[in-house]
Formats: sequence, structure tokens, C-alpha cells
Amino acid sequence: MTKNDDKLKVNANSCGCLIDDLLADKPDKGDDRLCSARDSDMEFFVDPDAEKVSHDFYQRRLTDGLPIIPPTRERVNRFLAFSVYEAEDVLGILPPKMGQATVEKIAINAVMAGCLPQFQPVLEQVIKAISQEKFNLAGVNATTHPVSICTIINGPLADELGMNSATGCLGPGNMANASIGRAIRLCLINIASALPGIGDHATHGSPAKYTYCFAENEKQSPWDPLHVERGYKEDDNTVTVLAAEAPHNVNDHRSQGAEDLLDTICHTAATAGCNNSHVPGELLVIVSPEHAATIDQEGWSKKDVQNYIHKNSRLPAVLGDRGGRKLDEKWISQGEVYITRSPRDVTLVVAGGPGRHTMISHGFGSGSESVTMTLNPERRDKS
Amino acid sequence: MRVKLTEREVLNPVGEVQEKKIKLIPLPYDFDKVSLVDNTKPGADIILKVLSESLGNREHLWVQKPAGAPATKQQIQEAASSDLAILALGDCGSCTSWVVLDAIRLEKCGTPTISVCSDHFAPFARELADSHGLKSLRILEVEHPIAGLSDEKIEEKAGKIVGNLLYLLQIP
Amino acid sequence: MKHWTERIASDLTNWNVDQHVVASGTSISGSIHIGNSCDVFIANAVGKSLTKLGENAKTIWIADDHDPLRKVPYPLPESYEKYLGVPYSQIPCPEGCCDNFVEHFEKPFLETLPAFGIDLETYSGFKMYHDGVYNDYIRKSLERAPRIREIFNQYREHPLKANWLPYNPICSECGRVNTTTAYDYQGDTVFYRCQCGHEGEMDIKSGEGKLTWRVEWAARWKIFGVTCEPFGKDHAASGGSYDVSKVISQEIFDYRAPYPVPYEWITLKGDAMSKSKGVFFTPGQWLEIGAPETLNYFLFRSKPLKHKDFDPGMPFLDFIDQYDRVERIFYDAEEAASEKEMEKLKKIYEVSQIKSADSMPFQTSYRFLTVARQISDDPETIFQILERNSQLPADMEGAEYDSVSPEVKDKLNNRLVNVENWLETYAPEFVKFQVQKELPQVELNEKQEAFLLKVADLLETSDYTSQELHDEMYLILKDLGLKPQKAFQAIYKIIIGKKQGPRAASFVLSLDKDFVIKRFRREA
Repeated sequence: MTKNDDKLKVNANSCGCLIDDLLADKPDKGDDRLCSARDSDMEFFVDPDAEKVSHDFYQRRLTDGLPIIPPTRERVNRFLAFSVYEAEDVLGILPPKMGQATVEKIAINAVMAGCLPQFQPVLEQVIKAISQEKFNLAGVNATTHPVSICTIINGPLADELGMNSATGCLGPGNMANASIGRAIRLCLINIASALPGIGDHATHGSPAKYTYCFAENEKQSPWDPLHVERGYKEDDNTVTVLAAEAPHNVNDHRSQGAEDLLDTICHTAATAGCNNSHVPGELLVIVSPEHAATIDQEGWSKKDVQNYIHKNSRLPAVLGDRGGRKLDEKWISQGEVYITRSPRDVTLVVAGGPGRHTMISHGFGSGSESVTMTLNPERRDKS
Repeated sequence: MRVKLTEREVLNPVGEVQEKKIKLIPLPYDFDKVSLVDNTKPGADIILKVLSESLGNREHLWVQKPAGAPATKQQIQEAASSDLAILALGDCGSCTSWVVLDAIRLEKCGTPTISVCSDHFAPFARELADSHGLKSLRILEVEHPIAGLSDEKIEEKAGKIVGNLLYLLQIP
Repeated sequence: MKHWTERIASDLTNWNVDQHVVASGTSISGSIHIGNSCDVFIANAVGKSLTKLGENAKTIWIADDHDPLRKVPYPLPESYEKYLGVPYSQIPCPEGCCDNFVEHFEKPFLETLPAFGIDLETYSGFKMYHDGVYNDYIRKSLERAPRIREIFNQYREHPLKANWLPYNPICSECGRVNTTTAYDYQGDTVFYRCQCGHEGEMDIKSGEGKLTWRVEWAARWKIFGVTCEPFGKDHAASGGSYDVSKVISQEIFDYRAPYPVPYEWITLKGDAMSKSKGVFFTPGQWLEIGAPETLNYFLFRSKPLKHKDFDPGMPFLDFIDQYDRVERIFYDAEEAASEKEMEKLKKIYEVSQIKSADSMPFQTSYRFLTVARQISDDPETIFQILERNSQLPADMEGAEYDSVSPEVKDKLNNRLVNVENWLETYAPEFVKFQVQKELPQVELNEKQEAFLLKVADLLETSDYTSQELHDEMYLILKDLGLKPQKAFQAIYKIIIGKKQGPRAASFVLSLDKDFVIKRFRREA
């Protein structure tokens, strides 16, 4: 050790005042300042005003138009604590802007959306899922078609997160359903630049673009839930993302058998104006538990239902061909077009509460394939 | 005592973009064969027909590709077999995206491209090309809208951009 | 791959016609330069390509000599202003050497064309009007004047007057044509007023008048059966002459407008060529400094709408180097950067040639000749200088000047004449030098003196290539602690009396060896 090292070091935070000065009586000065060298004697940190930040973010086109929770470092860190990744890890590059979806950017948008920190891993998997080539986010984000991203959660995690799979599962009223769907949209707006008129050219937009997330009502389903159908174990947790239109109701109170009920569903699905009519693709069918029971009582398996819907959801080709791209001859049979390419395209889930309604949601057509990914529930041990 | 209240800072939710640049393949001095990449949007075939007819005695290779989704590898390979590829039509969000992104795929294969987009979607097409590192992607603008018009009207609109195509290609 | 002129010809083969007529035309408003005679070269190339494709084709040239003088061309005096508005055909020869103004300016141009292998049928607008070729077209245009006016108005901001006629008589009083307004006609008689105050009438059959340009152009297409015509880009603008004439051709004369080939202007050292300002460069001037094929190459190497700039100074040497390289690539004596480049350059070279040759013609560096020519004017001596500096093709190594073929001698001598002219007219001062016959009064320091003596010793003991000599000289100057610049200055000062000169080693080797040794030793 050299002598120099022994020199008195002044702390960088020190104001330089001597303790004697600070303690000395200063009756003549007439103030109660501790130290005159600094502009304050004590500093308190407060959260920014949510209304002000919301307004500021809205002006900067960083929101969906609704108020947001200010994404402070402290809040974001709480989300990062639930991630197995490092904050700067890039989980996806989102078109059209090709923005890097880092774990931290996802967390920031999740905070804004009103998520709980526990939702972070779900959002991370969703981002990874929509980044898959076959999902075609470039097309889904930019299209004039009102396609949104529907997220379906399967497995025990849905309950753990407090998700709604029963009455009102498509909203409103549940924090997890609402804020996860919203966070995904905010990620698309801020990371992918899917802003109306800039990176999102949907002619009218869609209410489904605010949020579109629910859990499958596995307990009340007579069939294998979606994730099991797709090869996962019952106690696995998964997210499934589908490019889908806002849901459309199928009201059927009177059918007593499977065929009658399914006919109502098929008739509702086979419409000329959807993308499936000229570029056949996936169709999301959200069957209510009561409808499911009606079908099940005749012993129809999930495959039977999917087969039936595929075979019977068709419309005159001449009507289907009025869509965007030319209807490919290969989808036409005897002057009719099947709106799904195969029974597999019928994505069948059970959700909702009591009541005799089913929901259908047309996909983006052959331009996007749904993606299911498992959730890794393990939490990173952070000190 | 003087107490200072400091508002915590908020973090920026906007995703960053990584800079990367792709080389634009120069247009050929002369060419014998041109790929006409038709995404089957209404009018795309008419526009490509009008444009190709202005190119004189050259071989035309028609390739069809999906509108709102990427061309298959085989379609790209086919389109890349010519000296030049002209793609049409970007007149909505997803089809513009995939005209531009497929054009970039072709450029990466070494095939120079010219993409036809409607003037309404051309700014988006340029932004998108820029985000993918190819700011100078050649985009020919045709007057929006195209879909829903009669064939004659589309031919008329296509006719108006023939001069620009010939100028781009330096065809006298 | 096709050259763009071949591409046009190929497209024209789709036209179902008995004969293709490729037209060019020049306004005789002064000297005809490489900028406004571009169309002649392009038309000729397209015509030749058509013939090659088995089509019946000819190339024509029309002198627009019935047009009015709009600006006095360089170098005519201001007194010519009195002819403004008068048809060129009516203006006297400025130097008294020719029949008139038109002949004075078109003759030097037409005389150069055979050198470029250009074979044209030539016509005079003046003669066509006087021979009555346009008569029927004038009648038809007068008859259809209302429709023609409508067509014109579609492209005009300010519409033409209701009594406007597409014809301008030459004023019988003041002789001008752009100051008259025809307001009525009866049969072949046209009534007009002139800005000079004269009011008169004339017979269209007299030839003393002309159709408005855009109508005349369309009429001419049909008269000659024109199927292709190159023209300056001013005519090609949207709503410009071509667009309007095309409609008139179709609607009024029932004739399909020719295949248009618009071309961009050529600038001269960055300035627009202008006959009135004297900023121009003629094909004749080109032939003084370069072979005709090199002008073809200049015009054909890039597409017609690409901007071209010509600078006959130092950049001309780069240009000729480029041409020579392309020639070597054509004959596979050099490799191109890529397969594509090779294909393209071979095509351009091919269409630039006037006569095709089976083997590569004799070639030696133009740039090097600008040095050699300043050392000697004797072709044989120059040939030896080339040999000593490895400037001859490999297969001519060791050849004697007397034994080389007449073709080689011709090539060398032609290029020497070009070089001589270039040195005289366009070479900047810094490239010019003269070998001093007497030892010039120059001051050299000790090291420089020592350097020259050592180089003299070197030259005396052995023969060197320029690279070897260059390396040896560097060893010496390093040894002496002399800067290269100072060392070479010594050579230039003592030989040409200047501080700078051509590349030292090859320059020294270009000179007579004994002379150099003596000079370096200050003995001569």
C-alpha cells in the first residue's frame, strides 16, 4: 500500500460541510436547513401520477386508448422477478417494425396493461408463440382484415392465475383474462408498431383487438381439452394463440341432438364474408358446457364433432370467391367451398357458463396457423 | 428542512430495432426473362399483364403466390429463376406486407425486384422494407383503390405507371 | 442479353410493316453537336439491328431547316439578330463559303457520317414544303383544325383561341414565321396577320409557311412511314410533343405513332450544351481526338435516358482506357469483373463497331502515347519507345517497326494523330513537356546530383524494364537519404526543365539511352 492510498477520501455524496458547522447554532439565519450546500435536505421518491403518465403515453401513441399504470422501474422489476430469462433477452422480433421483444419490454407493457407480476411467463410464451413463422404475424398485424390474436390458456395454471373459463370468460370482469389480452395488444402496438394506420391497417379495427384471452373450462368439458388434443399432458400448462376475428354467437336453445345443434353452428360459420370462405383455414369453436353436454349425450367424440363441422361448413364457391385473393380450385367441390381445410382446422374448446350459446371465431384463413406452447412454471430464484 | 419530492421515472415500452442492412440487387442491364409474381389479389394479374406487355419481346414467367402469407420456397425459387421479378399487388395490409417481404426474399436470392403497391399502402411498404434493412426496395405506386374496379379501369390505372416502370428499367 | 438498340429492333419486329423507317432529325440552328445528333447515331444502330434481324429497314434524317431561328448561334455576330424568326433556309451563309446558313452548319456534320459508318437518306424540311409533300396534310390539318385545337388544349394550361389554325405562313413583308397568326383560310389560301403589322394571304402550295411543330411531326411520320424515332427528352415529357403528336397521328392522319426512344442530354464538363453559348462538341471534333468507334461506345455504353457528361480533358484519357479495356474483354484478352459485366461489355463493344474484326486490333495505350508523342514525332522511334516500356502486345515482342503489318501501322498512326490533336487542344498544361535539347540552367543539390550520376551508371551497365528501373532508383535514393519527390524532380528538371513530368522510370526508358546518360552526367 502506498502512502497516497491513506489520504482522506471524501465521499462523492458528501456536501463538504463540517459537522461543527451543521451542529452550530445559527440563530441569525432564520431557517432550519441542515445544509446550505444542497438544494434539499431530504429527498422522497413518489410514483408518478397515473393520469398524467397515461395522458402523456396516449399523446405519444403508446397505448390502446385506455389509461395505463405507469411502468416504473420498481414495478417492472417485480415482473422480471417472475421470469426465467434475463431482462435483455430477446424472445421475438415482431413485424412490421421488427422491434425486439425483450423480457423487459414485455414486462413494461404488462405493467401498463394492469397485469400482475405472475402473468409475465404467460406473456413471454405468447410472444414466443406469435413469433413462430407459421403464425405470420407480419400479415396478421398489417392486414386490413379485423383479425386479432386470441389467447387460450390450458392447464392448472389457469386457476392459479385466477382466470375465468366460465360465465363471462370472454369478458368483461376478470383481471387475468382482461389484462393478459391487453398486454399482448400493447406489445403489438409498442414493439411491433401495430398502430392503426401505421403498422395495423385493419379497415375498422375490432373490439377484439383490445383484449381476447380466456381459459378453457376443462372441468365441464366431456372431451380432451385443447392442450391434450395437441399432445400435452393434462397437468401441463399451455398457451395457444390463434389469429381470429371477434367471436360471433350461435344461439341454440331447442336442439336436443348433436346433429341439429351442430347444424346451427355450421350454418353460422359458413358465411361468405369471412377469410375462410376464399382461403380456408382454422375455425375456433367455443362450445358452452350445456351445448357440449347435448352433443356428448349421443356419444359424439371430439373428433366426430370436428369431422361434422368440417364437412358441413361450406358455402357456394361463387360467394366465397369474392374475398381478397382468388379462391384456389383445390378447395372447391361440386361448386362449394369448405371453410376449413380438414377436421383438424376446427379448433374446438369448451368454455363459458350456463346457457345454450356457443361462440365461433373465424381465423385469418390459410394465412396463419395457430401455435400452442408449454409454460415453464418454475420460477427463477432471485435474491 | 427542505424536502424534495422526486417522481420516479417511467420506462419506455417501445421495442428497439436492430440495425441490419440488406443489399439491393441492381436491375439488369438487359434481361430476357421476367417473373410476374401474382399474389392473386383482384387486379394483380391485370396490372402485371399491362406492365409485361410494355416490356417487348421477353419471356414472361407467371408465378402465383398467396396474398396475405409468404410465398412457398418453391414459388420463390421459381420466381428467382428469371433475370428480374415484378410483384403485384400490395393494396391492403397483409398483401403489402408479403409483397414486400417476398420481394426481399427474392433480393436475398440475388434476383432484382420491382414491387407494385397502391399509393395508399406504399408508405407502409417503404417503412416495412426499411425495418427489414432494405430501405431502397423498388416500389412502383399505382393509384388506390384497385379492388372492386372494372378491368378497364384497372388497365387504365396500370397504364399510367408503365412509363415509371420503363424508366426504372431504363428501357428506351 | 441484348443491347438496348437491339432490344428496340427486336420489339419492332412485332410491327406488321413492309419496311421499317427509323427517323432522325436535327434543327439546323447552328453547329450540330454530339448532344443533338444523338438520335442519328441511335437511329443508325437500330436500323442496322433491324437489318440484322432480317427486316427491311432504312434510316432517314430530316433537316429541320424550315424552322425559325430562335437564338443567334455561336460564333455568329449580333448582327444576325435581324434573322430571328426567319426560317434557317432563308438566312445567308455566315462566312460566304456555302449557299446558305443551313448548308454551312449541316455540311460539316454530314461529312463526318461516313467515318461512323452511318448511311442515311437525307431530307430537307424546306424542300419538302416547296415540293408540295405536305400539301395534303396542310389541307387536312386546316379542315380538322377544331379537333386539333381540342387535342392541343387537353395538354395546355391556356386554351388556344377559337380561330387558331395549326399553320404558320412566312410573312411576305418581314420574312419571319414565328410572328404570324393564320386566322382563316379558303381553299388553299390562308389569311394571316403578322406582328410586324402586315396582313396578308398566301397559298399553302407555295411552301411559304409551315405546319405547327406537333402537327408537322405527326404528318412526317405518315409521309415517310416512320416506325421508330429517337428524340431528346424534352419532347418526351408527359403531355409534351410526342404525346400530342401521337394523338394527332392516330386521330387526324390515321397512322400509328412510331416507337419512341427518348434520350437524355449530354453535358459538356457539367454544362448543358448550347449552340447559342458555344458550349458544344461536334462529332467532327471527336474524330480529331478519337476513333469513331469510341464515340459510338460513349453513346451506347449506357441507356439513352442515363445522363452522360463529356470532358475532353484528362477524363478523356480515362475514357479511352475504359474503351481499350472493353476491347480486350471482347477479345478475351482480359477478364471482366463478373460474367454479367463481361456479357454486357461485349454487347456494347459489338454495337459500337463499324466494321467487325476477327481478331483483336492492335492496341497501345493512348495515355502512354501522350508521353511518347512528346518525346518524338517519328512513328518508328515511338514504336521503339513502346517496345522498351512493354507497351506492345505480347505477340509483338521484339518486332521491328518495318516488319509490322500495315493495319498495325495504320492503327498506331491514327491514334498518334488523335493524341497529337488532344495534346494540342485539350491537354492541360501539366501534362505537357518538351525535352530540352540543351542542358537547362537548373539548380540541383549534391544529393540530387549524386542520384543522377548513379542512375546514369546503372543505365550504362545494364538494360531494365520500367519496373526494375523504378525499384533500382528507389534503392539509390534510399541509400542517399533522398526523398523520392526530390529525386524525380532532379530527372524532370534536367531533362524537361520542369518540376514534374510523366512516371519517371518509363519516361527515362522512353528517351534515347545515350542522351539520358550524358545529360545526367551534365555532358550534354
